[in-house]
Amino acid sequence: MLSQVARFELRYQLASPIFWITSLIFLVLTWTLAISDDLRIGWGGYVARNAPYATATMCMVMAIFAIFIVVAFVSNVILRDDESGFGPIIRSTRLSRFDYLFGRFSGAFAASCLVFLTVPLATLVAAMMPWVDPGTVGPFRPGAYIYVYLVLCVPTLFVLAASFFTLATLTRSMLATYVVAIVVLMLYLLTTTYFARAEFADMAAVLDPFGLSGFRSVTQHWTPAERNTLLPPIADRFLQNRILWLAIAFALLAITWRTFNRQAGSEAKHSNKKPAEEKVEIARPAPAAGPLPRPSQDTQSLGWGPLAALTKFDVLSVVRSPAFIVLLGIAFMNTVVGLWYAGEDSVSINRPVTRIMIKTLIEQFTLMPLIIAAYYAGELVWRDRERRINEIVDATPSADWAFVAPKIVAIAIVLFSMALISVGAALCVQIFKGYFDFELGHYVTWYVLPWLLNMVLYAVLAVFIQMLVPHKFGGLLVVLLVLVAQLSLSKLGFENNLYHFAGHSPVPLSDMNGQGEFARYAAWYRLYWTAFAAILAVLAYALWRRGASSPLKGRLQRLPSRLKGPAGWSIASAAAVMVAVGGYIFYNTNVLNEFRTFNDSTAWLAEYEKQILQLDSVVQPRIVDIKLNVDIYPNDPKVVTRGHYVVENKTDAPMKEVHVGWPRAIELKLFLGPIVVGELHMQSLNVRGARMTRELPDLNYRIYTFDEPLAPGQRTEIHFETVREQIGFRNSNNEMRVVANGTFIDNWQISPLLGANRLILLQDRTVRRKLGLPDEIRPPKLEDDSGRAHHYLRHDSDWINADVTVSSVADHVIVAPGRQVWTKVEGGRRISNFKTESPIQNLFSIQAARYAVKEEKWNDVSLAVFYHPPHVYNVDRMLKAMKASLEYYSENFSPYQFHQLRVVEFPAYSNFAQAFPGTVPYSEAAGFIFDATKPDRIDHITYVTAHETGHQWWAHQVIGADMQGQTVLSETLAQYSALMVMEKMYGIAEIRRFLKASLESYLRGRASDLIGEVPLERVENQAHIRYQKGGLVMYLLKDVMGEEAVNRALRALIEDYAFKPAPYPTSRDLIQRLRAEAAPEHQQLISDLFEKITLYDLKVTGGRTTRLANGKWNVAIDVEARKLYADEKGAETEASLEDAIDIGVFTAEPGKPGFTEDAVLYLQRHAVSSGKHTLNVVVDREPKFIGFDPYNKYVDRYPEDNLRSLADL
Amino acid sequence: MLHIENISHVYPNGTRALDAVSLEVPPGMFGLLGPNGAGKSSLMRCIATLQTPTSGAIRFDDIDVLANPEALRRTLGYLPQDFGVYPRVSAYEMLDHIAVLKGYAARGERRTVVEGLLNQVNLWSVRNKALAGFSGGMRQRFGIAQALIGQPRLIIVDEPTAGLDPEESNRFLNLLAEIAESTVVILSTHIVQDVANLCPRTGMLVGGKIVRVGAPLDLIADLRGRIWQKTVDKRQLEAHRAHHDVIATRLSSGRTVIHVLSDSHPGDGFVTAEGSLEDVYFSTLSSLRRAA
Repeated sequence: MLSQVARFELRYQLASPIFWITSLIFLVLTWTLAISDDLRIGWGGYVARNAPYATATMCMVMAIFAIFIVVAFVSNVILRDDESGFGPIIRSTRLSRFDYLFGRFSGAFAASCLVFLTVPLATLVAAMMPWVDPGTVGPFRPGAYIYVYLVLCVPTLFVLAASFFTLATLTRSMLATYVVAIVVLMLYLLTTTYFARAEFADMAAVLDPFGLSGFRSVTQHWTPAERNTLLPPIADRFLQNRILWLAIAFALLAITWRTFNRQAGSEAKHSNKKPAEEKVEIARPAPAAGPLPRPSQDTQSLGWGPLAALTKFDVLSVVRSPAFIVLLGIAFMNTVVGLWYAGEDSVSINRPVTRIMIKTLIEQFTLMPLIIAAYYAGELVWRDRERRINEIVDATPSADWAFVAPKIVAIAIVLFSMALISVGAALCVQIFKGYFDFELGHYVTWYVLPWLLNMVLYAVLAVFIQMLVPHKFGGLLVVLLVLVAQLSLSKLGFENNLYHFAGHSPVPLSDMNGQGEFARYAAWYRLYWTAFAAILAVLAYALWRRGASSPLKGRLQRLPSRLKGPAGWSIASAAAVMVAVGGYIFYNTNVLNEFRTFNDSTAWLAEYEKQILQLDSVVQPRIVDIKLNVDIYPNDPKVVTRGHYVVENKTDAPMKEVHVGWPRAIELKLFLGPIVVGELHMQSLNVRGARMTRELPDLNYRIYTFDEPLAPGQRTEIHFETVREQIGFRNSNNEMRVVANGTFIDNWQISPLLGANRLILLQDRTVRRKLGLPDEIRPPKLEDDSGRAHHYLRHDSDWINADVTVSSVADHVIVAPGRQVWTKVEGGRRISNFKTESPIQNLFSIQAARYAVKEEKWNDVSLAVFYHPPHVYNVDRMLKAMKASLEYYSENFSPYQFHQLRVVEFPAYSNFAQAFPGTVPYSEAAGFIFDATKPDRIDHITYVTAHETGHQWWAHQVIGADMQGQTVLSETLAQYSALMVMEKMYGIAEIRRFLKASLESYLRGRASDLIGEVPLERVENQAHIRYQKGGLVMYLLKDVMGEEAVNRALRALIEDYAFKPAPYPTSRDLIQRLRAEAAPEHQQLISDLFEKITLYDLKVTGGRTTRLANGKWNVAIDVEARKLYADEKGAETEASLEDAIDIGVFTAEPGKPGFTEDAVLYLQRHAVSSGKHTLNVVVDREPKFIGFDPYNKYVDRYPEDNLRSLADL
Repeated sequence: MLHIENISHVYPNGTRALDAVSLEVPPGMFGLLGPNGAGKSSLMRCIATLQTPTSGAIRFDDIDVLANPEALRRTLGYLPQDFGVYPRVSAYEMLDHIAVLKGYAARGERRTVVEGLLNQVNLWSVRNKALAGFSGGMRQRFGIAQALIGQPRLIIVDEPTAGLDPEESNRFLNLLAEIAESTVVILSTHIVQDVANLCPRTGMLVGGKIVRVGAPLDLIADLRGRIWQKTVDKRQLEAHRAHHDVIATRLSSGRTVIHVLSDSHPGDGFVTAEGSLEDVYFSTLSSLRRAA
């Protein structure tokens, strides 16, 4: 019987159009995601797009959306009978409860599985498309698809199906089911954002109902080789997760079976609602009967009274619906959680400044309100029809506006109150966190108004779409499709906000610079889209469904006559506004400025590489002196630079040519985030003694040929005048560097470069192949000494002197490299002159803003923090960190080369700090608003400040050659320097937390390496190697060799290379000096750390304690040790381990609150080799935890098994 | 008052719901009779401006209804056959809402109208109760109250008494009769008795066509002496059907009473029956069935 019911159900589902529609949607959606080269779900770098890991990731992500499949197919199988009224008939048959429930369930679950089959199918098909880059496709593994579908996805579907089946069957309410579905999705978003944090990772891995976190927990450190070949195992936490959820699913089904009541049906549901008793107490006497007045208003005209009354009615109908309360509640909860954690990560916490609150609100309080707006637009439009009251209201003499206008106004009011509530939530969070500088004005102008307009635009769109689509749910789906289409269009290079509904140029926020000019630019777009929405609203009015059946065709035929009169005039005037404003926008974005998309940037870079790189073999003179006159007009915004370079032929052959290039507007995605390079216009360019012989105008590149070749040692001058300027505004990438308060430019952006700019070249293999470039562009190999002719920052300069005069508006404080020689205000402008006192890198910043300055002295060095006056919080901490850093570095490395060290704040448009000579521009988002008072976090300010100060030695004294290993001498050593400052200031406990976080991000980074992993000595553009692995390596080495030995090696490096021109040092020069200081037994470790990709697998496998006669405790610790060498794709080979590694015994768990130095009973290096060992240690007190490399100093893919609680063993 | 000329309506799926319907409706109550599916509701919707007929013309006094539906709506009260209510909305709020839609802009005048009507239809005591909890009769009374807002001159009520118990049904029809004194009321129904009791004029709509129009008494008079009645056993029924024009059968105390239409005495056991509107109705249906 069960199987017959199931078969019937399946046949029923297969015959319904929704089955095919849903299948088609999932097929197309998955295919679109899988075919995209931009989204790259689960693949990229060396991981093929059809790797088992990629397929698994894609399918499991889609399984989240399967919640919709399940709600559509499974949840209502029983409820359907109540709704159709067929229930009593079925329930009075002999069909058993079990067969009825689970027959239906199985059939519908089978249908859901069939729908979901489209997902692996679509990924499979996508990888076979003929235009797909074959370099991204691995061998076809049919088994992987079957495994992913059956083992990873079907259980999730089952869990979802069982849960929603139970929910719908027991609550007998589809509304409740929909709401819970949305709740689950929202909660899931919560878990991914917050529970992705390391401290919750284990819990999330077990509890995640979709299994994604569990899946991540078993695969997170997989190397590309593993991702390409292995099937994700159901093991460890993933296994626990699956068992837990399958158990829950079966339990839910059992509950449904136990509690399902046959009699309960539509009668039971309605019986509790007795008809209202007529004999209710009469509070007020009935009015006397009498003639009734005639209506006073002509119903066709607009009037405020009726509008208000109808709006009130519609508002009430929204706010009274339980779904609204639930949706709003979730949105609100989510926002509060988001606000509470805003600007927080595992290492640092930001103060809840209003900007961060608003940023969080804009990011997190948008999707849900948008859905509410779209949903209630549909509800209000269809309400009369669904409630079958349309014939009554349609037959009233009211004008059609009376149906459309109040609904839009009602949604706007509901949204407005939501905005106010969210602001209230933000204020509460600020109060609770002890922050009382409420910037209410900012809440209104930065958030509520633009947010509300955006929401209302979407509400109008949703109302309009509901006019076209003959079904409410269909209409909602179309609105969602519009949203998704908008997102994917911009990915595909269709970026123009003139066709992105409600699109506008971005409005980045900054405390320093407010909304800048960005809000004004965006206002034009907002006006444009408001006019469009007005057209939609009038069309919605004209297409309003009135009467019994109103197919779109009929309404469209009536449209022209309906648009006669005011309606037509409104459309015409809105269209006129749209055309005029659109024209003005187009004039700004496409005529005054060149319209460039991200794809245009990429294409230009490819062209640049093809044309310019071949010219790069021509050896260029080097810049030795720079003189710049920089006039900043922050309100225009414009920077005019006049200057000259003194260049010298430093080779021993005469030079015929000099090549000069300058920046072109492009958009790059670097590890610091998206970087926008502004266009520079070269007004004049003269090379003394040379004439221009070739120009590549589109590439901003010119070749000058000397009349007389430049003799070795001979110098000449290059004079130039450049303008960086924005006229009007752009679609995106508006000028963010030259702004009213917080101008931050570096010399690259305003002055020319000799030869090619290699830093901007494309890195991504897939993109490069697509554009016809060789797969990889990589620096010279470590063995190739030609690389030593340049350092990696720029090829046209060694060490230079600079004389920079900057002018800006009078109230600006100006900071440029070197000593401020003079400053004055003249003609309403502040002018300051700076000169360098010792040679610097040809890389310096110029900043100008209304700064407050705090200065202190350290020996003869003046320390200063230039900050936005309200951001006073961490200024002292920065000064302290600067002092501590200078102290340690000058004592252990070499003297500090400048007489000033400055930290200079810049607007939150970017979030980084960067070391320029004697100057550290520091984003307002990256330290100035950190809350350093939280004891359980790393003092990120001190760390960043120490790191950037470290660069004054490592980059600004010694700089690596432009070849493999280029950043070891700068980033890795700056990382080491910062760790030492931190250790001196905070002790080892702080470092441990830091190392743990470093290890985690190195392991994650290597899993998605774009070019394949290399040993540290060969690091290229790989942040996870140069920073995270570098820090780990240097700290371990310091631990093993001793701090003094390492610092001796570093001193030797400085001795040999500081401020010296080519040949520049390489990572091998560092290794060589380290080897010279290291004992023989440490040589192997140096090889493993620098020259190989070495992974350790250290773990505690067991432990026992015995109380000794003398009251002490003997601890037997079973350990297992392995050492592995990995290749570039992550394939591992076992190597023999011979090392001395920490064995620790503790009374408290290291890294957890409550752990102090006192908890360390024993911590000693023990010699260990590969394999299993048992070590005995005697301690004074009763131990609780034992560890093998307990502080995670070694790179270990499974760091959590290094430390075990004796209670668990 | 209301002139309907040659109205035809064909639904997109090809169903011809109305076929050249022409009708003159004078003031007072007009009963539109017809079996299920005859097109009554389609005709009502066409008159109520909810549906534009495929062809034909409708005039109400000097209003061209099809060209100017707004003008008719200003003077129209419509109670559809089946209507629902908003959840969580009380009778008062709902009437108030409809009063706004009918042009009562000022709060004060709405109050007068809504309270007056609630009183008139005897819903005053439950005015603040949610409509969703109303019984069928209360709901229909609410329905007529909303139809009466705005002093309509044309009131269309579609199958208003279906599903009501006799007491509620009477209450409702009395209410209707009061109103009909000064306005055009079109009562669409398949319950012949209601029309017979209330309507000075009636029309019969079958298969989308008007097949009979007139005063019920005139129509009954037409049949006088031609309706014959006989009580037979169930097994005799088929034989009678074969020989006579049986227009209606009904059970009475376990036996079957048949009505036969015949100009002359049909023979054995038949006696003359007092003609009723029901006989008119059934004889009309029967003759149409035969013709088909």
